Amino acid sequence: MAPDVSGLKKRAEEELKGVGNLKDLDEVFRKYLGRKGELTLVLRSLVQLPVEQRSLVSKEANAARDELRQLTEELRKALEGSVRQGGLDVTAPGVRIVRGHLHPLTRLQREVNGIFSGMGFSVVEGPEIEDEWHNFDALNIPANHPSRDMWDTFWMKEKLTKNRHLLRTHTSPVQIRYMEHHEPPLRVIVPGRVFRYEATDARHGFNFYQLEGLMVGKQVSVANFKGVIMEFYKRLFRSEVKVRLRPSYFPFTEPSFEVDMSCLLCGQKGCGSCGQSGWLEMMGAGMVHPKVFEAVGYNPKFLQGFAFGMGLDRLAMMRYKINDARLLYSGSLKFLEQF
Amino acid sequence: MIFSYSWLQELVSSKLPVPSELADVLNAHAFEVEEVEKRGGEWLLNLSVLPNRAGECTNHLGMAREIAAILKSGLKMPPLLPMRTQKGSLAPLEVSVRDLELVPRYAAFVVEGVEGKDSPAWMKKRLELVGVNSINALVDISNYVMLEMGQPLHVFDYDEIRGGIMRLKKVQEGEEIATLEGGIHRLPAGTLVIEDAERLIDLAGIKGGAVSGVSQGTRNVVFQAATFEKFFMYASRKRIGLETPAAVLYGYGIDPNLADEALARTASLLRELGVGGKIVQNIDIYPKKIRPRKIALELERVNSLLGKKVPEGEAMGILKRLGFSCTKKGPGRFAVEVPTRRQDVQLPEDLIEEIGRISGYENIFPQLPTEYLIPPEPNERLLLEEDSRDVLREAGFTETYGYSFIGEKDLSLFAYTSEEAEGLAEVENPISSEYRYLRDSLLPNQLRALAQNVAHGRQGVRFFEAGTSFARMGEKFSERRLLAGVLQGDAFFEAKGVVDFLLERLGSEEAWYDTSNQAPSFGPQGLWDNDRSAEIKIAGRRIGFVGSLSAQIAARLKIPRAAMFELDTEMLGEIANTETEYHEPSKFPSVLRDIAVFVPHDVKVADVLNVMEPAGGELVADIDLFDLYDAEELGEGRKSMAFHITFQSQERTLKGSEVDQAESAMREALKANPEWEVR
Repeated sequence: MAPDVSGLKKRAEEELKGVGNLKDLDEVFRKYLGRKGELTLVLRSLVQLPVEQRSLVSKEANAARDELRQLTEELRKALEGSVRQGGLDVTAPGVRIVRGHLHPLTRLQREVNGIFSGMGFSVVEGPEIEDEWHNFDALNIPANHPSRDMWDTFWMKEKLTKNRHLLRTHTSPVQIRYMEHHEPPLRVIVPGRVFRYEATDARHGFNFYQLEGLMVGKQVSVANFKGVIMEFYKRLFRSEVKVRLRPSYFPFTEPSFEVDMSCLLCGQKGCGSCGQSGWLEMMGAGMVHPKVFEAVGYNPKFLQGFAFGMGLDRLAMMRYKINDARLLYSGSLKFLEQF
Repeated sequence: MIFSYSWLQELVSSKLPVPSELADVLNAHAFEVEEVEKRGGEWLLNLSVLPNRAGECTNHLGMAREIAAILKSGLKMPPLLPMRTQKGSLAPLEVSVRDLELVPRYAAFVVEGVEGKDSPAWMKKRLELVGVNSINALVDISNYVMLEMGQPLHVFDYDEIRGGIMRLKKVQEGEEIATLEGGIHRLPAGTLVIEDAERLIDLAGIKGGAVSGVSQGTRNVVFQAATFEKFFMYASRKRIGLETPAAVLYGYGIDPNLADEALARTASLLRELGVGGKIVQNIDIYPKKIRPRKIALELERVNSLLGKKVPEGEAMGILKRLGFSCTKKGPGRFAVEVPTRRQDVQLPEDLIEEIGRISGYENIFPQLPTEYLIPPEPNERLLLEEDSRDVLREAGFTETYGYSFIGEKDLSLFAYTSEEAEGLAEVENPISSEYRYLRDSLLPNQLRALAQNVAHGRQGVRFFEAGTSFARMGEKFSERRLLAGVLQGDAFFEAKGVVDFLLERLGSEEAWYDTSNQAPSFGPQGLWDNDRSAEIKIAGRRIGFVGSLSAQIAARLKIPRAAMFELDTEMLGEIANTETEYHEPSKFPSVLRDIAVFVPHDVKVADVLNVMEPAGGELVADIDLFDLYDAEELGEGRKSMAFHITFQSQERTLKGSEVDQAESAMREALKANPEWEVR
């Protein structure tokens, strides 16, 4: 009688379906495909069959063997895979991605430039080695005037005795340079590096960054300055802020102010950062002095404008809670890789 | 300056708010309050009076005037004794002023028969609380009047003025004077002094001379209330380097009309303190009387500049309380007369500041501008720099900001030649020798930062900076924006790869690395390893330098190896192209073939490519070096290069025979060189 190859194959397939682990799989494999397995025995017994049946059964049995082998192989792979997955320690650290970092001052400047650009201010720049006229005289800070003492200056070594060169003490000379070549109305900000001849400590450096702002038109007022600067702080610190102006003196503005912002750390209750006052000193500002307009060839009779200058290092220190200004220039990875 | 609360109270007619509230009022309307403190039972306020107001407000009467104006109160003048001279026995002094433009007014009186004594306790205490030592009644009175009214006074011993002569004049080169604090000063030519018949007796406006000072035994004195020209005094004090309170005050500018009240106050105090004596001579050289300035003010301008409507009555009230007098000239138009002490008030805007601050900036409401908006112009240079920063960050670099300075020691550390050092921009007054020069390259400070982090055990450090470099050419200074990077390790090809990546991302055409000229555009040449560095050229222009750090400098910095690059960002801007365009990839299959070639040691990859590329023709889509092998077993002075060559067409599937033909053309071209062996 011819063996029931198809019934044998069906049984084997049924049993394989019930297999849940590698050990059971091996048992089923041995039962049907092992050296003494049922299918193996069928194949061996083919010679005993009558010739007319032999080729048909042989074909069927060989096909069944190949199919079952493939099936067990697939099952084996799946079972092995599940074993490996179960054994993976997913709490081990992921592969560390090597990345670079932008300096906090770059990040801050981008943010600040973005806010002012949104309010219609162009970003302009100027030289860091300036001449005395642009840095002082044109800004109504004459030589032999005590107001010059407000800026401790690095002078360049040179033979010139008139209109000598210096490292700009503020970004304000760029106001002059810009107005010399542009007509009002105008709105510009000037970010850049400035220099002061003074010893460095946790709050001051001899080089640091300033952001100058200038808006000139027919009706630009103190109220407009307050509006623009409040909007700026609101967007930068992403919260409602109050702004306070106090009388001050800068030779290139009249009136002149110190600008304070409500302390966001303590909600104006008074804390260490604001010296218990509820206010933080943020910048100097004022309405452009008529003599500055005259210096650039504008007619002050028909123009009004505001100008301001803020220290970006200090702003970065507030924004990122940095406690020492010198860290910004330290080149220390421990500091830089936090940004 | 330190102000005494009780002294201020004496000069204001209504009761002052408590010290902390007074401080708030001053902060909001006048001057920054540095500190409020109680010492010796007295409240003291340290106020920061800026240079525009320092001439008339660093005294108690001036500050009281401010307070009275803010609080809508009145000023209470201290006791003054009208000047009346009496007949005495002293010979009259003969005073002459040679440079009237430097001495707008010389006022003084002579007192005969004073009694040397100490000041009363109240005056001693008041002086000491605000930081002035008590000496004797005569000197104390002069200091007291200065602190109260702002007029610097000087008191001379009449009997030490020889020949009865006082001459105000400028000195010649080389004259010397011994002053009261004990110093001897060699005076620059042109310094203003007072001399008697025989010698210099006073460094005018700065410090009294030792020979003419008063002591307990002094019987006859001269009280001087002079005015000196402020710019001259400022320059003079800076030249001599003597920062006395009087000299500082004169530098800010003193009202010549102040002398009368100051001398009247002096006379009153002489009587009050029982110093005795009688005024026997009154001196007043004041040829050109200073009169109040008039400014035309329009209320319209006040409102427009402040952005707030100030009622006419309020504006005029404020000016009047500050001592200005206003005459109405028409609707909203006024002529304002400025008291001569207010030298800072010259323009309508100065008056607007007075109105604005006294009425209160807190009453100006924020308002966004209504001026029409012109869209801001993009700053292309800055945008490119920002793009470069992003690209380098993507490449794993960390951005640093370095100081703009390098120091004397850096010149030898970073191997500057004397010629290179000559081209550095130098600061005349450096903070220290560590920061004497301005950097001509960003690399020295970057390498220093690298070394510091390597010393802390960091691996694989990659830094970059975008910053300004400086140079001096003859008498001219120049500056350039640069982009520089350093890489820890033997990383020349990484550095070069980063430059290629940057250029590609900025949309530049490919760079050519030229080794024929070994001079970098910025910084010292000695920084670079000559055998491992190249100029970066695009379209024939030098845009920067890439290479390895010189082994010698690496050893000095204790960095085993480093690679670096420095580019001119302004030139980058000119070659960059930020337009991005999509190129459709070929739809047809590509064929890959490999060619390997042995070449003599000095043959460069670029040399081999230059032969292969033209030989392969149009079908070659890409040639990629995948192996560069340089070893002894290859034989004397030989190296092996292996390339993947990709053949592909945009229009069709290539036939095997076409590819074979192109490949053999490349092999034949290589074989044409007898020293090259194609494997």
